[in-house]
Amino acid sequence: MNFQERVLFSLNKVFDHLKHSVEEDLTSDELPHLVSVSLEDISNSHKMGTLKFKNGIGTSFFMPSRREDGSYVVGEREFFTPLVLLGRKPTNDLGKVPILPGYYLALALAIWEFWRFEDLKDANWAFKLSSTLNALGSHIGVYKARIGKDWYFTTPVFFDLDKKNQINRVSQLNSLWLPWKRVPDHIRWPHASHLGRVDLLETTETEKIGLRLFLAEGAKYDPETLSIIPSTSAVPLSFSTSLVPFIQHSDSARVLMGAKNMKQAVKVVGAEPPFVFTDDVHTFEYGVNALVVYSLMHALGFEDGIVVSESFARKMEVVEERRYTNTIFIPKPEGKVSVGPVSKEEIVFKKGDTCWSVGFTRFKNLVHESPILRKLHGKKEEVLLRYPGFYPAHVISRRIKGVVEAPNKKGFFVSIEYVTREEKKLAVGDKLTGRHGNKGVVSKIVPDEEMPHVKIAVNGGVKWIPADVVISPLSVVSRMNLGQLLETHVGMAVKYGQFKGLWKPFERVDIEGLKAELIKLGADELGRFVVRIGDNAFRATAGYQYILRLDHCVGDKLHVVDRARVSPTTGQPVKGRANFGGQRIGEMEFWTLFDHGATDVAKSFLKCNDGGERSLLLFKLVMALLGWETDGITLKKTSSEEALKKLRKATNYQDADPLFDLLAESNTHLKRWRARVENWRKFFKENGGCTLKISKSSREALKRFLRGKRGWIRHVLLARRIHRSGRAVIVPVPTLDVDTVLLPVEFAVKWLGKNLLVERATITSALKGDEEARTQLAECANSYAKERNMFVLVNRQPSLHKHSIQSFKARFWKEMAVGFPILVCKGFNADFDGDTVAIYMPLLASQETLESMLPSKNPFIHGSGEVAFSIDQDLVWALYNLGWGDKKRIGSKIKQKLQHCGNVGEYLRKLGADAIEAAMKHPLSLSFFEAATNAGYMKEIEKSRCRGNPTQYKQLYEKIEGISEASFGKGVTFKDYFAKVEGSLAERGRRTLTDKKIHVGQAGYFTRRLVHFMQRYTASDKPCKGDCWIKLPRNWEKKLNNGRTYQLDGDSILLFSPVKCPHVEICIKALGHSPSTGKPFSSGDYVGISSAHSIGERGTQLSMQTFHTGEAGFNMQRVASHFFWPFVKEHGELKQLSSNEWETILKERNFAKYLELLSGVSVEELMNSKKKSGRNTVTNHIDVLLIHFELFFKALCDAYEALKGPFKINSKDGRTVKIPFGRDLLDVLIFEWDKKILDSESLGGAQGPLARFYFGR
Amino acid sequence: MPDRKPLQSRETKRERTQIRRTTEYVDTLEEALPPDEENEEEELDMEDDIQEEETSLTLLDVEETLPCERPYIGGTLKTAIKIIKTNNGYLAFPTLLRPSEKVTPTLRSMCEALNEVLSGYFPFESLENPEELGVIVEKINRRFSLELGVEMPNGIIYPFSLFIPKGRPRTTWIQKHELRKWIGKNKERFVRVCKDNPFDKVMRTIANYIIIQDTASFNGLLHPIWRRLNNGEEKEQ
Repeated sequence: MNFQERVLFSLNKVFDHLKHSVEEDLTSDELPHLVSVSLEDISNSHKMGTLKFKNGIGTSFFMPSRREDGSYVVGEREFFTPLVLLGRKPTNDLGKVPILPGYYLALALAIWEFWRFEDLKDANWAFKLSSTLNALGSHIGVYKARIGKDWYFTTPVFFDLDKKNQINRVSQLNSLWLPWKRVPDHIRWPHASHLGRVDLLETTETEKIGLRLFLAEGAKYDPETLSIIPSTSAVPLSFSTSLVPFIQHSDSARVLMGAKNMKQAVKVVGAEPPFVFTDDVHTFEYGVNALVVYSLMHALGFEDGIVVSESFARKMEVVEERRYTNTIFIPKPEGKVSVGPVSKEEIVFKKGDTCWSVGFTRFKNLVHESPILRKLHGKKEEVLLRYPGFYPAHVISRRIKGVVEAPNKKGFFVSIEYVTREEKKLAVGDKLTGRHGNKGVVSKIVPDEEMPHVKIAVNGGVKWIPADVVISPLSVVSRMNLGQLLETHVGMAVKYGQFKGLWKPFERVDIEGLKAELIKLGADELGRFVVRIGDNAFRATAGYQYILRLDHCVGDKLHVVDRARVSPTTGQPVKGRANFGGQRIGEMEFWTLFDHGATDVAKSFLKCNDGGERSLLLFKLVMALLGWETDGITLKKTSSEEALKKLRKATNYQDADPLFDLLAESNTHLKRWRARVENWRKFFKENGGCTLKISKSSREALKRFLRGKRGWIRHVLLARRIHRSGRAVIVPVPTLDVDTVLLPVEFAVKWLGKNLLVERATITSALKGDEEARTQLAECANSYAKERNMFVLVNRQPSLHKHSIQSFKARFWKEMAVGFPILVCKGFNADFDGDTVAIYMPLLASQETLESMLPSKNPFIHGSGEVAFSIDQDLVWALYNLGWGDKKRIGSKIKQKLQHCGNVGEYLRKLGADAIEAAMKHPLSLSFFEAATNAGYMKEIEKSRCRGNPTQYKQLYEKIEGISEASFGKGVTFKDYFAKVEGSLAERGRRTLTDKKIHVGQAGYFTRRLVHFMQRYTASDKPCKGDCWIKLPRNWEKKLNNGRTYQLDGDSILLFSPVKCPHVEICIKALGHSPSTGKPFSSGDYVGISSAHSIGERGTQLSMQTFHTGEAGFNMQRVASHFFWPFVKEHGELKQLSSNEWETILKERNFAKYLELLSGVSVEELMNSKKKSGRNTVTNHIDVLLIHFELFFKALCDAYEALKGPFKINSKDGRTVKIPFGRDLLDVLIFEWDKKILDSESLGGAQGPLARFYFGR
Repeated sequence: MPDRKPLQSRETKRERTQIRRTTEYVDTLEEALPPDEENEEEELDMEDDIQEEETSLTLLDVEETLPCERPYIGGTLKTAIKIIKTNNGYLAFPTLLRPSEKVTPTLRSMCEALNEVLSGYFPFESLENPEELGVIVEKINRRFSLELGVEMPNGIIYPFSLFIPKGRPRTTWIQKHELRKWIGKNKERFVRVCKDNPFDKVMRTIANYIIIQDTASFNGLLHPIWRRLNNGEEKEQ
């Protein structure tokens, strides 16, 4: 078959397949059948195709030419088109459904669509089809086609091809898409048909995980059978995965990350091919072979921090070409009326003029010499163009991209594209990675003399060589990527010894030979060299590892604004760094502020722009149009006319008028029917002067405008983007006090501005990157910050619990990253592999509030009462060596100390300093041989438990339970790793990451439900008169927080509990002490929100753990249902409690029984797992203090009483259908419990503190 | 002061008619927002920027309209027709995904008119200056002519309105259009005539086929082409 016949054949085959899939009775006339397709080259980059259908109609269209490597060129841009599976139902079986390149599939679908749904007799039919097919030839993105009455299919067409990174380019050209959006979990897992066709590891790490696959090397797409022919290679991996050396010694999750990270690598100036290479065909030159030492170094390697030497940093510099587009407005000169186009010469700037120089704001002035512009602007000769980059850049070339006449005909918008060359030096905060998914940020750049020196015996003599990179040995244990250690050893043997070779995936390394070679170079039996740090010499793993720099440069991520740019639509700051936007305080962030009781902070954020007036007014307006009279708190049903008239009376017309425009603009449906909005405006303007028409579809559009995540309420009213906020990468600073963060000087310039008593020249050069000036500026800013006692709020998203936002004393430093005290990592759930945090500057908050939000004031996790500081890794190792015992004992000792010491900050500072000193005296390293044979340091790590857990240790040197008899030390076989697919290591890796990515969203929804369910409960200091005692089994005593009132009574305890408290404001006596601060609650604390947050946070953690629960997969909905209406075991089967029993429990407020039910079921059982081995009950996983469960149960009982009956649960999705809690307006609108609710007459008023807070005046 | 009053009333009258018109035809004028304010803001912004740079440290703090709120390539201006360079000249083809009933006539007539003109182009000509492409389309929807654009072979997009004369087309435009159309149909003959003969004769030959309304402007159009075909370009420089 020639190419044309093949195209004809495949298109007809697609039509055939579609015919079978649409499940409609189709006559043959309703189906396109192509008789001929001819393709003709009409230029270098274009083909002309001519189609002829069986009824004689024909049309021609243009398509871009395909190059040999599979890429397409349109104009100057290169594109790729992924292969797509075509099918109605989601499947991952590559053998069953037809597979087509996205572009050709889009062509077929477009023809199908036109044939079926357009009027064939229309004179323009062929023209329209031709236009559509032409458009697909340069369509970037997806094409949504209508196939049946209710079947729409989305297929990708073209995407930009990566020009920088060759690995990514190869991946893109070999990509395969599963086009469905919502799929069952198992679709994301590897399938037996994948082996040989696609790589089992390589996939994205986003929500598309498992839906973007990449062809294995050697696998080929066959256009005749519309399928992929499997590779014949013995080890069929994709290009990217095959570049990871020693896969057999590393865990799949990390290999996946390694393969993914290499696609983001940028070429550095000192780029060289790696010593240890897996491929003899391709060239691979992006990073540098660095002398790596695995050792602790002043705790700078905590949670993936990386220490590098100055000489290495110089090698890692990046020089990059980048394109920027600027749009300028050029007014037309007065008097000249002709509409004639502006010729290019008039706008283009002369060649060779020095146009950009680095200025203070890092924007550059463009001095143009164009006479016409000079004439137009009169005296001014400058047009200011914004340079959105951060690094110093030089313009290489520029061109006009487009000219648009302004709609008012007063001038032109000209967009000019610049190509610039940027030099990016390696800085603290830049992201580096090895090839084994061992990514991390640079935590410090150290002079070569201060780096560890490695003693190597070469050529009969001894050399001391300074290391390039220091990595923490503890980063290997829990990740189980021993490949990086082996690479280090082999790299050393290759560089200085005679050990040469090419290590293809799954090829065995001669371990004994390697050891012998290393011993020759001066290593001991365990492959460790003598390393000297200062005066301290010890044995440690050292060798050469290939280190890459990733395209996540710290300067590109740093973003801070004083006053952000404001969107006219919402009245709030806009989104994004490029737009000079502000950070978003979302719903979850507001809840976190409520946890802290920081209402003044929250209020100041709410008021930070237009005071929320305009957005609230728009809300009222829409509600009025829907026939509701509301002030946010109360709600009254009237007619739309009445409500609008009343609103008109209460507000100024001038304020409301522009809102109609916004309304029309912000909703696509309303946009289409602008006339309707005009009618509403007229009615409002004339105060009822005309008849008001609100059609049914308009009502729907208005409701859609309010509803949902992107709806007005949740997106704009309950959340804010704010001014005076910023974002930056975090790096570890071990010496830092727990209550302090170090901010880049850019923050000082923006936020302290004119208060800084330094010369402008200093600021300018500091922002250009001059180190001395930066230090000087930081010192100056620090003295100011100290004097004024400056606090900032640090937030790491997702904001799951109280500790996700904490206040810190702000200090400044010369680096471009945020210096983070390592101890607070646990609370933020942060690590140093490129995490960014948001920083807010609270202007109107009181000092007391801010001080109460300091980490040292919240030393315990609010949910569980455990220590909120990271007592982990380096610290545990040091304390273990000081005789404190293992990690568990250290944890409990520190908890006791913290409970009784007066000054938490001071205690932790001393502890940290002592520990870092001790850690340097007691060196730690890890070699491949140690890890693989459980010898040397490995034993010590296991004893101290400073990193990892027993399951992980076992996999390193014993065996991988349930997957392989071999360990990572011995090397897993190809069969266990890939070939058996089900139950293979590759599948485990994919599942782990899928669970992490996908289930967190479900858990977030669970948290949201809990928060809105419990938000009404606050603490009160009014003494309670009710009978609040409840009886519980004695074993719950250990789950009580401090300060609770209870009596022991034999095997049970009598507890003074909020469960039976009749009020919404709960007396402090019943609550005990706040678990996080250890001090009594104060009146007005939002205890309900805190408890909901605590339970939800545990739920999120639970959902992130992997449960190998068979085909069912993890389902957070089941856990949520269990909480709202428990399941019980009956004859070995799980059933929801009968309605009567559940009612009795709620009526009697029988908390003991509820707890019994809650802990009666294991998570595995809840998930309908085939494996019933799980002993861990739900309450063991969600191991929060009892008080949180008590408050939740109280909320359940209160809701029952308010409804005078149990609320119904829809068994299908576990969703509460009847509104269970007091008809709160917010709940109704946010949760859409019932979509028709906005029409119902029975809506009450908002009551909870959240609504009062947001809408109250 | 007496002469001011009628002026004011005239103003308001115009305003009133405008309002009435917008309310009446609001369905067809969907997107025709009053743009004047927007652009004035834009101009002010530019000035502000320059002043800020001169005086204070906080250039970043200036609020300005977002790029996405201005008319921009790919947003309010869509590529509806693309011109590519083929092996034998230029070709314009429509590239609008699912063109609507309303747009199709405009698109079709624009496309046909463009191709008519483009077939008159010669290899030595480049399409960098869009004013070369003056086309005359009899029926065109003005709104679409602002929103839809032509992508040149070099990637620049120009709105239709740039190629189409507003109101009654001027004589020059008509002449140019006619000339190009004629050349397109009689390309080989035209080249032959040009190469062998002096300018006067060329003009007379063509005058047999096209009605020349304004001799001076016609000469202005034809002369450069004749000169280039006779390698006059180099001599001139």
